[in-house]
Amino acid sequence: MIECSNCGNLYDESLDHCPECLSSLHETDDNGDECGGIFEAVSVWIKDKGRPEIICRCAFCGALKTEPVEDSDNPVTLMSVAARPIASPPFPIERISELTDLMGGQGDMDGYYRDHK
Amino acid sequence: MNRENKRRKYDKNYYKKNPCSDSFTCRNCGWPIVSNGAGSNHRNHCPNCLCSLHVDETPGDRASSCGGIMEPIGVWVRSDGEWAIVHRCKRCGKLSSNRIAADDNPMKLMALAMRPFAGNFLDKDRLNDMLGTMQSQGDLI
Repeated sequence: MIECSNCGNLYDESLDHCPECLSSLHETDDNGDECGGIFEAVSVWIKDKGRPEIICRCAFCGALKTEPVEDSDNPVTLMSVAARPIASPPFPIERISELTDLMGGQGDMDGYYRDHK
Repeated sequence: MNRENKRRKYDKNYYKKNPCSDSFTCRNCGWPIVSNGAGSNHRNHCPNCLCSLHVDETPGDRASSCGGIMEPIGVWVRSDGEWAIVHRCKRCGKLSSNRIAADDNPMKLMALAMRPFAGNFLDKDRLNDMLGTMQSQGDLI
């Protein structure tokens, strides 16, 4: 068993990241130098053939890596990692309906919620 | 020959110190791109398809021998609340993170952020059980 250096959770050595907080330790970088930073899960992407992977970023040196999602991973943490960009959009969400209108789609979000109430 | 052109040709670290203001067409989608309008002097990716090229190892050194197309695979939120795109090289798999620009296609950005939710990577039953133990009203079905 290893203790997670980020959240203190105990997990099995065969896993490459902590199943609770999805972070791992950045031991050596590409040049073989010791780093010791914590790889934080920053995003999720679906690789070809539908295999989901976590995108991790070292909080100390900024290195990026991807790791496959394990079955034991906490689904709530995964969900919150995937939903984080949606929670802080870079532009007002109202602009989306303008844009979908321009593209000829039915992007009227008020109408959707009105109809489904 | 103009001095600036000469410097650009012979100084290996020219683009580390100076922004590149050339116009070019995107190698992935053919969109014509000018350097203005990005909100920064350093345009990194195509504002239409968000693809980039693997030309640098560290920013501005033009040292990569790969030259593959870097496709956008996801977005993440930096500590200052700004979005950044994670690019992955189609040829060699190198990952890099880049700030979004002012004129990036907002629909493509939103599509990129919503992409994980399109696949069923989350076990809905397990998520329901978990939310149940957290005593929340998070019933998905």
